[in-house]
Amino acid sequence: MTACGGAGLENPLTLTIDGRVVEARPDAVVLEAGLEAGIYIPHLCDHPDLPPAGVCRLCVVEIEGHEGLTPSCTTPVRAGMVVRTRSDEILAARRLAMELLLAAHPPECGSCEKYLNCELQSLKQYLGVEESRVKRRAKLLPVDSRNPLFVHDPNKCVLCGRCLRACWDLRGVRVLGLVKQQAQASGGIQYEKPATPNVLAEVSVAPIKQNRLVLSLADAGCRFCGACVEVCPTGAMQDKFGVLTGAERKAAIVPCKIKCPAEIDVPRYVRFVARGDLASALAVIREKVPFPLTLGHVCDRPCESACRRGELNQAIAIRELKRVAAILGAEGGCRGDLAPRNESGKRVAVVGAGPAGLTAAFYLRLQGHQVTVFEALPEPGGMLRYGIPAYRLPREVLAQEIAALLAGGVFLKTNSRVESVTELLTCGYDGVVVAVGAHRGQRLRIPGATAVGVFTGVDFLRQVNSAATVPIADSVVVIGGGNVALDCARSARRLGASRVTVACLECRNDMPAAPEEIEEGEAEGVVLLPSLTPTRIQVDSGRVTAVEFVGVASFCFDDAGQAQVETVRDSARAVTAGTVIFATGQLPEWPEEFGLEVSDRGLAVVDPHTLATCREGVFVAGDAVTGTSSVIQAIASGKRAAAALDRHLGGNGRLDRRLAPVVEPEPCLGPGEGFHALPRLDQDLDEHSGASEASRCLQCDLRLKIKTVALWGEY
Amino acid sequence: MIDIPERVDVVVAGSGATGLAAAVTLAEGGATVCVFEKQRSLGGTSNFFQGTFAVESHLQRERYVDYTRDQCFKNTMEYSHWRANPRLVRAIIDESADTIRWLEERGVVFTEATINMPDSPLTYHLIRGKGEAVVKALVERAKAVGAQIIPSTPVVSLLREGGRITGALVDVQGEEVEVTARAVVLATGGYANNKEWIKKYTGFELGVNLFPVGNTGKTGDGLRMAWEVGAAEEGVSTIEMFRVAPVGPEFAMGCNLEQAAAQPDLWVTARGERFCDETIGFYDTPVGNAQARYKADGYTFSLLDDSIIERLMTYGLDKGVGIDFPPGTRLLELRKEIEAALEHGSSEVFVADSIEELAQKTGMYPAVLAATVAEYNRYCAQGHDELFAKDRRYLRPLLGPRFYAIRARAVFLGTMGGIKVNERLEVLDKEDLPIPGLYAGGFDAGGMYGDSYPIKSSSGLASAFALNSGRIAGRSALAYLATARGMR
Repeated sequence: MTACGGAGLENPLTLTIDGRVVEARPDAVVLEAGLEAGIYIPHLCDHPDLPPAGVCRLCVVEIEGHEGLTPSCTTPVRAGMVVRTRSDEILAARRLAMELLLAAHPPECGSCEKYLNCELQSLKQYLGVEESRVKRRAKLLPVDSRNPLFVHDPNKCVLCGRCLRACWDLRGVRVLGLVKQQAQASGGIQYEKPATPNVLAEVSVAPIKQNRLVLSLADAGCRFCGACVEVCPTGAMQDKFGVLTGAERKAAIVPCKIKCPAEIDVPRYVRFVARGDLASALAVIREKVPFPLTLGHVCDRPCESACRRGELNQAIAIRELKRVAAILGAEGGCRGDLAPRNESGKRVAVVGAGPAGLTAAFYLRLQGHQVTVFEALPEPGGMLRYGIPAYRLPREVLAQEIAALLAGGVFLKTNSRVESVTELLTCGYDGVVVAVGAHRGQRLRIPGATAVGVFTGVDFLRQVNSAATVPIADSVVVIGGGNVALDCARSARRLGASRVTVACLECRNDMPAAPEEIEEGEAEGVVLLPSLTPTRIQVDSGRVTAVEFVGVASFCFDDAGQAQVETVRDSARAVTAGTVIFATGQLPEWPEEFGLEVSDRGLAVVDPHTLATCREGVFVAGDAVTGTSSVIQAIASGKRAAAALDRHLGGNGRLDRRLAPVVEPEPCLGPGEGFHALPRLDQDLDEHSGASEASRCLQCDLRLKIKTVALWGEY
Repeated sequence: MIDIPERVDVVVAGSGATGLAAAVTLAEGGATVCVFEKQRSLGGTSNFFQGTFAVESHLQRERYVDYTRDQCFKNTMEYSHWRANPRLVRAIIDESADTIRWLEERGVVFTEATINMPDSPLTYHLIRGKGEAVVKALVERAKAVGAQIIPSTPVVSLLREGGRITGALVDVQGEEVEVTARAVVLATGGYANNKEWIKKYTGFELGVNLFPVGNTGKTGDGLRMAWEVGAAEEGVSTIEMFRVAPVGPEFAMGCNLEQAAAQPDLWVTARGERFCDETIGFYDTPVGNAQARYKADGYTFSLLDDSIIERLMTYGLDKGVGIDFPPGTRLLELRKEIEAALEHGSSEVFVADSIEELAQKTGMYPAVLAATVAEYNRYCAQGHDELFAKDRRYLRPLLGPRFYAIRARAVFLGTMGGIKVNERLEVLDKEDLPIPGLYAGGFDAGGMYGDSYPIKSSSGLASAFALNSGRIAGRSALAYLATARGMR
C-alpha cells in the first residue's frame, strides 16, 4: 500500500470517502486520497509517476454537489468534499468502461505471458465483467519482436496512454505515438496525444518520428530506458526476457550490478562519470571494493557481458570507465576514512596477501580489529604481483593501491609462510582468514610432463614476475586456453622466444581467455592451435624437443573436473618445442599440518554462505575455496569472509560504506536521436570521452524507481 | 509496506481455488489464516474455469439430471483403472454438491448445469463471471472473516520441529521472513512451468512439444516443500492435456484459427499420416494423448480446404471450444485470421493450391500426404472410415481448390499431482502416516486420477478437486488445531 499515510502530512485537509473521514495532501486528487487512505478505487490509465489522463473512466466516483460521475484521477480534493466510491450506478459505469477497454483486447488470458502480473486482468476480476455488450473486434496486428530488448504486441494495447506519458512526460524521449494502422496496410499515420478510449480496433501505439510511423524504435530515437514497458498495465509491451518477479526481476532489469560478484552499483557510477563527477564515481566503486584501479586494468568484467546495451550494439566500456574514475577521480585524495572509528580490541590474522587476503584485511581493520597479514613471498599482491604480468597491470599501480590499503594500520609480514592455523590460534589471534590462493600449477599426466624444460604456468609467471632470469627456449608451447595461458605466451614472447604456440582443447570461439588477450597475443606473434589435446611430450637426452597432439572433436568435464575428450581419427601432429608450459589449472598449496579440511580436489571445505570452516573463527576466501578464479571474485570472497569473521567477533558485519553523495537520478532523459548507434569508446579514455561513453548507458536502473501499482487484492 | 504476520494458526500457500476455499473454511472456523500468493494478481489458474463439476447438486435435481454419485464414482475409478485413490475420489464426489451450495452462500452465481461434449453426464456447473468471480467472492469472504491475503510473496520453505509443521518461510522482496504457524496448506498449483520437472516426470519438452495455458510461474513450490519435509510422491506424472492449437502471441486463446484446428476434420502427423479418429477431440484429454505418440516431431497438422472453411463460416463449428462457443458458432473471422497470419509470416498457418504444394510448405512427405488425403476422401465417399471408424457425420472430403494447414501443438492446463495425500487431504510421509500439520490440495495433491484426466465422466473435475480438496483440507486442519491447541 502507498507509503504516505495520513500522519505527518503538512497542512492536510479532510474529506469524507465512503463515510470515512480521511486526511489528504492539499495537492492530491480524489483517487490518491482514497488509495492513500486504503480505500481501493479501480483505475487503469492513472499511474502514480505519470500526469493524469482521465481517459479510462474506471475510477469514476460520485461527489456530492457534482452532477453525474466524476473521474477521481483528475479531480482535486477539497476540504469537506463528500465522495462515494461504490454504488450500482458507479459499478455499471465502470463495467461499461471495462467492456470498452476489452472490446479490442484478446478475449482470453490463457496464453499471455503477462497473466497474473497484468493490471487489466486484475481489474476484470475485480469488476466482474461477464458478458460484453460491446462487439469484440480482434485487431490482428503483427507482433513486433524485432527489437532486441522489447516485444510490442499492439493487439493487447488498450490505449490507456501510459506508455506515451512515460515516453513524453516522464522521460522526455518522445518517440511513442498513437498510430492508426490496419492489419494489411502500413500507411495512414496520425499522431495525437493520448486520446479517448473509444477504441478503434486498428489504433495502437507505435514509435513515430516527425509525425510519421517509423518501423523500429531505434530509428525513432528510442533511449531503451524501458519506462514504457514498466508502466504498461497489459501485455502490450513486454521485456524480451519475459515477465519476472521479485529478485529475479531486479537482476534481469539491472544485470550489470547483479552480475558483479561484489555488486558494485555500476549504473550509479557510470552516471557520475557521465556528469563529469569522477570523484563521486570513484567513491561509488570504493563503497563496495578496494583496488579500483587494479580492477580498472584487469577485471574480467562480468558486468559488460551482461550489459543490456550489448543487445543493441556494444556493451558500455564499464572497466575503462572504472579506470578513468580511479585515476582522475583520485586527484585531490579519496573520500572516506581508511582508519577504523573504534578499536574492537580483537586481533586477527590473514594468511596470504593476494586480492582476497588484502581485501579481508582492509575491511577487518575498518571494523576496528588489529590485523596482521602473513605473506609467504617477498612482496604482497599474490597473483596480482606474481601471476599477472606487468604489461597488463603496471607494478606502480599495484604498489600504490596496496600502500593505500595498508595505510589504515594493517601490519604486513612478508617472507612469512604460515605452516599451521592452529599455531596462529594459539598465538592469541581471535580469528583467521585464510587466503592462500592457488599457487600449485597442474601438469597433465602425459609422458614427458616432468622433463627438463617443462614448467607450470604459475611457476613460470612467478619467475618472470620476480625478475629472475628464466631459461627459455626459442620455441615455446603453452598448453591451455585461459588468461594464464595467454599471459605465459605473451611473456615468453617478451623474453625473446621467437616461436610461441598456444594449444588448447577448446575451439577458438570457446576459449576461456578474454578476447582482447587473444587478439593482442596474436598481434604479438603468438600462434593459436585450438581444438587439440596433447598426448605426449617428446624428450631427447632428458630435454624437451616437441609436443604431440591429436585433434579434438568434442569434450566435456566430468564430475571430478577431468576432461573427457573425443578425438579426431588420424589427426596426430607434433609441434617443436624447447620449452613447454602447462597452463591447465592451479590448486592451493596446503602445508602438511595446516589444520583445515580439504576436499578430494584439493580445495578448502567451507560453508558456502559464510565461508566458515569446521574450526571456529577460521574462514577461507579466494582461490583456495574456488580454484583459479577472477580478481573480482577473489575480492568479493575476501569481503564475504571478512564480514563473517567480523560477525563472529561481535561486529555487525556491515562493510559497505556510503562514500558518494546520494543524488536522485534525473528521470527525464530527453530525445535520443541516433542514441542506439553510438559506438563504444574504450581507447585511452579521458574525462570527456569517458563522459561520452558513460552517456551511452541505457540507465536501466531508472526503471526500478517507477512505482508498482497496487492491485485490488492488496487492499 | 507489506505487513507480514509473525504468527498465525495456518499458513496457506497459494490463492487459487484450493487455497481460498481452505482459507475461508479455516477463517470461518475461527482460525487465524494468512494466504501467501506468489503473483501480483490473485487466483492463479482458477481464474480460467468457466464451470465446475458436481453430482447430485440442486441445479441438477431441478433439471432432472439423474447422474448419481455412485455412478460417477464407478466411472471415475474405472477410467483410472483403479489407479486413483478410491477414498479420495469418493470424498471429493460426495462433497461436490454441497460445495455448489457453499459457493452460492458466499456470493457465487451458478447459471446452468450442462456439458460441452456429446454423450456425457451434465456435471458442468456454469459460473456467472467464470473462475474470476469465484476468486473475487472467496477473496472478499476470506477478508471479511479475518483472513489476510498477501500477494507477490511466495512461501519458499516449511519449518518443522519434532515431526510437526511449525511454520513457513516466505520471500518478501528477496528476503526470507519466518511465519510461525501450526499448520500449512499447500496449494501452489503444481509445476506446469518448470521445464526441468516436465522433462523429468512427463518426458515432454516445455515450449517445444508441450505448451501450458493459464499457468504462470508454477515451478512446483508446493511439491518441493512437501518432499523436503519427507512427503511421499503420488501422481506426479499426470498432466491435464487440453486440445491442440497453434501457439504464439498472435493466436489468442479462443481465436477462430484455434477453433478451426480443433474441428473433427482431417488431422495428420508431421509426415502427413492420419493418426486418430478426429472426433476424440470432443473430449480434449485423448487428443493430447494421441498426439503425444508423435512428441518427437513436436506437432501435428489440422488440415482444411475452402469447403471446410466455408462450412465453418456459415454452418458453424461441430466441436465447441469452451462454453462460449457452442456447436453452431460461426467462425466469421476465420478467413481474416488466416490472411493476417500469412501476411505476418506466421510459422503456424499454411495455404497452397495443391496437396503437393501444401506438403512442401509444411515439410510433410508429399507422397504420404497425397495418399492420406486420397484415402480419407475415399472413406468420405463411401461413408465408412475403414481405418479409425470415425462417425460418418464427420467424414467430409478435402477437395480444394485451396488447401490449408494449421500447425497443432499440444497445450495443457496443468500438472495434476505430486504430493501423496489421504481423503482428509493430510500429506502422507513414506510410511503412509500423516505429517502433522501439513495439508495439500488442487494441482499439488496426487491420487485423484490415473494417467489421464477423466473428462468424459466428470467434466469440471479439476476445478472441483481444487475447491473440494481446499474445503476438506481446511476442515481437517481445523480438527487438528482443536487437538493441538493445548500444545501451542
